[in-house]
Amino acid sequence: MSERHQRAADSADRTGFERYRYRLWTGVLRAEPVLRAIQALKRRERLLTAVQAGLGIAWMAVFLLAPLAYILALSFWQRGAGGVVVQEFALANYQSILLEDVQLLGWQIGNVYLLILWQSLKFGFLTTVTTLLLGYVPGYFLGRTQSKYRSLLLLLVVLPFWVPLIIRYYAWILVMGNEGMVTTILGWVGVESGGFLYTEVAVVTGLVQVLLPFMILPIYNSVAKIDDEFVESAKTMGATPLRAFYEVTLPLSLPGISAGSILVFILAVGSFMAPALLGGPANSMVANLISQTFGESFDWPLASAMAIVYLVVLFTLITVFNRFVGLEEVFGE
Amino acid sequence: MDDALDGTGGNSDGDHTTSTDSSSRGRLSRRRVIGASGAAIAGLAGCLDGSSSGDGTETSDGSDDTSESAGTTTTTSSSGGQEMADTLKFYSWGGSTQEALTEHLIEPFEDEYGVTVEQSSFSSQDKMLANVRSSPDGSYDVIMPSLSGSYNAVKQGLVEPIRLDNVDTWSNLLPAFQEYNSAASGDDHYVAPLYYGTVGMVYNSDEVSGSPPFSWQETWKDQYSGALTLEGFAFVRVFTTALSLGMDPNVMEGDTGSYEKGIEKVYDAMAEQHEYVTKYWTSGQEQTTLYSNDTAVLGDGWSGRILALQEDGYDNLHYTIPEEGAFGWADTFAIAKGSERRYTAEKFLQYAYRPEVQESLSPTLGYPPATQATSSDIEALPDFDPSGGERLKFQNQQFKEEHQDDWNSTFEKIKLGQY
Amino acid sequence: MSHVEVEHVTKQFGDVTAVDDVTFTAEEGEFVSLLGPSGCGKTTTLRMIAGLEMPTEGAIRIGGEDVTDRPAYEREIGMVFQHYALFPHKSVGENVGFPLKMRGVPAAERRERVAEVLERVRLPDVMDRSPEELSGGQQQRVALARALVFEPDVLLMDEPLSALDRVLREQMRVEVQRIQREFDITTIYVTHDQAEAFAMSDRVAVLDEGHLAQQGRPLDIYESPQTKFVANFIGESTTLSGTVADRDGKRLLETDAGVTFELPAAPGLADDRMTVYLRAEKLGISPDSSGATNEFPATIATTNYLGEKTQFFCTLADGTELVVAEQGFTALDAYDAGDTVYVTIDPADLVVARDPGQDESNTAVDESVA
Repeated sequence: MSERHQRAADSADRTGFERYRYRLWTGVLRAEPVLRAIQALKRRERLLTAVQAGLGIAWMAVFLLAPLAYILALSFWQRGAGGVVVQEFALANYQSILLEDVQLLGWQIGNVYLLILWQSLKFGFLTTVTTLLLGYVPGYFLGRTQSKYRSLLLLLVVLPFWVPLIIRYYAWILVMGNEGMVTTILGWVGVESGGFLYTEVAVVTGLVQVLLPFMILPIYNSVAKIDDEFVESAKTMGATPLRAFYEVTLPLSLPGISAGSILVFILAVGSFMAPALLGGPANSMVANLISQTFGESFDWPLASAMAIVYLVVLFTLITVFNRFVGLEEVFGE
Repeated sequence: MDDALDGTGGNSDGDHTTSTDSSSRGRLSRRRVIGASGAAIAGLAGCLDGSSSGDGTETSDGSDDTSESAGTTTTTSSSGGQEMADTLKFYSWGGSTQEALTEHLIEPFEDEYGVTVEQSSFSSQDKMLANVRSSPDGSYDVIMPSLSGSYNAVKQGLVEPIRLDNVDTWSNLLPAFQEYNSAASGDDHYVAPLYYGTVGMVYNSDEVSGSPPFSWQETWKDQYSGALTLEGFAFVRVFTTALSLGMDPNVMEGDTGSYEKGIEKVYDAMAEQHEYVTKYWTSGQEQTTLYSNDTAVLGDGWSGRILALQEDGYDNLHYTIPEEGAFGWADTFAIAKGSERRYTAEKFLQYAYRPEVQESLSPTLGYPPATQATSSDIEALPDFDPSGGERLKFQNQQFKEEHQDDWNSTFEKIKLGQY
Repeated sequence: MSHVEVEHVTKQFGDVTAVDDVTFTAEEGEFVSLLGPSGCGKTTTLRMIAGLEMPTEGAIRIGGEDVTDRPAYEREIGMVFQHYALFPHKSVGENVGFPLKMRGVPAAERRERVAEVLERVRLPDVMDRSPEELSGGQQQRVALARALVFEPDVLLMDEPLSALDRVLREQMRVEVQRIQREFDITTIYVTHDQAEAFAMSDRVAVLDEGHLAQQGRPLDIYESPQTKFVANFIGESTTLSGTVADRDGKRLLETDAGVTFELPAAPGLADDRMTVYLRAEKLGISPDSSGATNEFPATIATTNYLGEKTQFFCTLADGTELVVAEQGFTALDAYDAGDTVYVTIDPADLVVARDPGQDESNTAVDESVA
C-alpha cells in the first residue's frame, strides 16, 4: 500500500474526536518545555524515585504517624473537669485499663476493657474463620475459571461495596428481626425463634457479609497466579483432582488465605457498626467502648490509652501470626 | 474554682415551673439521634430539691482541674462593640432541627435585623465541641450545646458569658432555666436554653395493659423479658433506675444512708433489669426500628420519635412520663469563645426568646420551649409537663462528672454479665 | 503392536480444530519427536496422550490398553513440562517423591528410590533443597527424575529445553538422550526445533496446522520431504513446479520458472505436474558456466556471510527467489549483488515429489499449503 493510501486509511480509522485528541496530545508532548521537563526527569530518575518515595513517606507521616503520636501522647495525659485534657504525665489511664479490677484466683480476670477486647478478638476470629470457609470456594472458582464472565463475576463480588455499610446492616436487621425472613422461614420448618437479631450470631453474620470480599479477592488473586502446569503435573503423577487440590493448589494459595484472613481479622476486630446495630446488650466491641469513652464521657486520654492498648495487642497478634505464616511472602510478591 | 463551688450551691431553690400535657404532636428529628444521648441537664434549680447543696455533689478534688479552664472563660473579654454586625456564624444540630430553626427563627431574624446568618451543622455534641475547640477563635458565634454539652463547653473554656443586659427578653425564660448555671460559674451565664424534653416511657398498648400513669417498675416485670429496650447510656440508666427506686437521682442515697450503698442498690436493680433487655438503643433510628417491628413492646424513648411513628399509623405505640418522673434534657444556645459578634449574638438570643418566635418554632420542633410562651399547640406537646414540672427531672452535671467513670464501667460489666 | 498408538485422533476446541485426524505410533523404548511450528497441534496431541485433554475423536492406546477415556491420574505416564512445574512449596526430595506418595509407597522406601533416581540423573545431595535454589539445568534433571521415578509406561516431554540458554540446551540434549537410553523408556518429545528433534529422535512426526505432514527417520524426512511444508520447515529450500516431458530419452521437468531439470529416475508420467525441492546446501554456485547438467543462471540479490556458511539470495529470470548456501565459503569477494551466477545441482540431490497442488489423493499433503 502506498504511503498516501496508508495515511488516508489512518485518518479514516480515526473519528474526528480521536484525531483531535491525538493532535492535542502530540502537541502537548512535543512542546518544548514539556520535552525538556520529561528529559530532565529521565535524567534524574533517581530524583524521581526519591520524590515518589518521599511523597509516600510524607503521606504516612502526616496522616498516620502524626495522629498516632498525638494519640500516644494523649494516652499519658489526664482528663480534667468537663473533658479538659490536662497535660500531666501519668500512667493512670493504662493502670485503669490493664490493672484495675483484675482478680486472679477469684476467677474474674481482667476488667471491662479487657473483657470487651477479648470479646472483640473472639468475634474477629469467628468472622475470619467463617469468611474463610465461605470465601474460599468463590475465590478459587474465580481464580480457576476460564469463563468470559469472570470480570462480571468479580464485579458482583465488589458490588456490595456500592451500598453503604449502614444500609447493609439495616437490611440485616430486617432479615433477622422479629418478623424477618429468617424467623419466618424457620417458622415454616417448625422452629420457633425470636430471630437472631441482637445476638452474637447477628454480629458475626453481618460482619461476614460485609467482609467477605476482603477474603475472596486475595484468594482469587493467589489462586489465579497458580500456573495450570502445577495442577496438571500433579495429575500426571497420579493425583486425583481432590488430592491435587490438597497437595498443590491449597498450599500455593496460602498467601491469599493469609492476606485475606489478616484483612478480615483486623477489620472485624475493629468494627463499630455491626455490634452497635446488630449486637445485643452483651455484644459491645472495643471500637464501641473507645468511641463511647471519647464522645460520651469526653475522656480523650482514657480513650487514647484504650486505642493504644488495642493497637499493641493487634500488632502483637499479627507479628505472632507472621512468625507462623511468613507475611513477607504474602505481601512481598 | 471558687465560682464553681459557689455556683452549685447557689442554684438550689424553688420548684421549676414547667408544666405539661401529654398527648400528640411532634416531629421526628434526626438530630435527636444523638441529641438526647448527650443531652442531660445540670443543676436545673428546681429539680435538684436542694440536693446540689448537699455533700454528694461537691467536687473538691476536681476543682483544681477546673480552675484553669473556668479562669480562661471568665477572663475572655467582651469582643465586638455594641453595634450589629453584618453576619452571624451559627452552628447547630442538622436535619429537621436545622430546618425548623431556619424557617421560624433564622430567616425572620435576618429579615428584621438585616444580618446574614451563615449556618453550619453537626450531628453529635462531641463533634461540635471538638470542632469549636480546635477551630481558631471567632470561627463560630452561636453554638448549640445540650445542657450536658454546655457543662463541658464551659469547663473547657469554649463559650463566652452572656451579658444579660443585652438580652431584653431574658425574663421570658422559665425561672428554673433563668437560674440554670451549667458549670457553677458564679454570676456568669453561659447558656440560653431553647427547648427541653424527656427520656420517657414508651409502651405498646397491644402488649402492655393498664393506662398511665405508669411506674418505671413496669420495666422490671419479667413478662416483658426479651421485649424491653432502654437507652444505652450509663448516666441515663443510673438516673432512671434511681427514680424508680424512689431515690433522688442526684444524691443516690435513698434510705441507705450513703451514696455507696445507694448506688449498689441501683446497680443491683440494673443488673436485674438487664436480664430482660433485648437491646440498649443509642439512636433515634434504633428506637423506631425496635418499637415499630414489635421487637420491643416496652422501654424508654424520645417523644419525637414515638410521635412520628404514631403519625405513620402506629396507634398502638404511646409515650408517657411515668409517675416517678423522667430524665430531662434541653438544648441551648451559647456564644462561642472569641466571637467577634458577641453583641449580635446576644440580639439573636433576645430575638429567639420572643413569645411569637417560640410559639411558631416550638410545635415544629416538637418540643416545648424553655420560655413561658405557650399556646394550645405547645401544651399539646408530650413533654409539656402537666404536673407543673414534678415529673421532669434533670441531672446534676457535677454529680455526673464525679461518678460517671464508675457508672460507665459498672454498666459495661452488667452488660457483659460480669457484675 | 506398537507401545504407543495414536489413531485418527481429532481435537476440537469449540469451532477450532487443533488436531485433525492424526495417526502415529511409538515402539517400545523408541524416542519419537512431534515437530512443528507453534500452533500446529503438537502440544495438544501430547496432552491427549497424557490425559490432560480428551480427544474429540479417535483412540489412544498405551501398551495395548485403550486409555482414551482415562483421566491423567489413571495413566502411567511421566511428563516433563515446559517450565518443569516443580512445586515451589516442596523440597526437591518431596517433588521427586510425589508420584510415589500418590501411589502409596511408604516414606522410607520413597526416600530410597528418590535418592536412587537423583543419582541416576547425576544430581545427588539436593534432596532437601528447594527447587528454586537450583539452576535451570538442575531443575530440568529434577523434573526428569520426578517423571521417571515411578517407572511409567511412557515419558512425555513438552519443549523441556526451551527455557534454557543455547549452550546449556545443547548439553542437555545429550543428557536427556543418555537418560532416556539408560531408562530405556518410550519417549514422546514435543519441540519446534528441527535440530533438536533430529539430534535426539529415532523418529520424527512433523505436524502442520493440526495435520500429520510426514513421519519417519530424521534422514528420510530430511532427504525426502513429502510436502512443501516439510521441505520448507526442515531447512531452507526452494520449491519449483513444472510439467514432466520426455525428450531424447531423458525425462525432463520443465518448470514454470523457466528452468529445466533432468530427473534422476522416472517418477510420474509425461505431462504429470511435478515439484522439485532444491535444498540450499545442495546447490553449487559458480561465476562461470561449466555446462554441467542441471545448471541454470541466476542473479545475486544479496549475500549473507554467517561464518560457517554463506547464503546467496538469488533471483531467476522470471523473478522466482532462490537460496543457495555454501559451507566454509571464502571467495566472497568474487560475488557482488547484481552479478549473474550459475547454479548447479546433482540430479541425485533433487527431491522430487508430485505437485501437491495437483494431487488430491496424497493424504500427507496439506491443501492449505498448495
